[in-house]
Amino acid sequence: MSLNAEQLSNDMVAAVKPVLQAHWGRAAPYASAEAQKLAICAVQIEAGYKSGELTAEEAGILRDMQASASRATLTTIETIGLIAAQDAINAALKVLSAAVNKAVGIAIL
Amino acid sequence: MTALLSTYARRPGTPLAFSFGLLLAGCSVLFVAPYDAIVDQSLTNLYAQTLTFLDRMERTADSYASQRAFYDEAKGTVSAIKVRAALLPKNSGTIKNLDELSGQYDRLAELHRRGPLVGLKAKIARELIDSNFRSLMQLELHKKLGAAVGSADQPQH
Repeated sequence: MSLNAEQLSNDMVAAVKPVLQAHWGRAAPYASAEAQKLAICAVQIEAGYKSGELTAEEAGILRDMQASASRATLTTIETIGLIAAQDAINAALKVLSAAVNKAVGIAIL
Repeated sequence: MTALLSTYARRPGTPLAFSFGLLLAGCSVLFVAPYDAIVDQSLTNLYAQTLTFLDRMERTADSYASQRAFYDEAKGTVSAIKVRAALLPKNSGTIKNLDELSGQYDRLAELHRRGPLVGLKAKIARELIDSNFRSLMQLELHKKLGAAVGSADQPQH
């Protein structure tokens, strides 16, 4: 049995799509919600400082906490991108491996 | 192109390319450490303890001095989770976020030293620490998701 490159390529794309969609479907709402929440915190810190509800020191600590939360969110979004790429490549390789095994006639991979 | 193998037979150098294809097909890539249920569960437990602590502080307005043990224990737990996470290769995202979380406990303690954790400062601090936990838990969710959508090499949990 021979390998059909066009069919193989279509099968690999078909395997990759749901993987990327699954990650993006969860990452997009997360990124959007975090950006909104962090923006609201920034506004609350400044408003609290101006109204006297927060001292300058407290506002400074909360700004540092906000910077940390923002860094963590960005690290997560960056890492989710890597996970999505990894899972997509592995899904495509799995299809390739199955096709090669079928073409050769034995499970060599 | 309908018969790749027969094409290989006609062109010089194609056996090498075919062998490379075979080699590639037998591999899987690892950019990020696999899902670790122990890290996930430990984070969930620490998150619950932290929320319980913050609720109690809001209600009782206890001083930092009387609650110092919470910060020591929380930081110790983060360090233990970090040691576990560091056992897996390619886990820098989780490790960076654990370092950020550890720093958040230092800042929360600093805030607490200046007065009871109540009112606006407690509300904002809680939201920001929530964000750090969500960052860590989202990462674990996506590591786990790879298995759910058919990744070749991630364990099912």
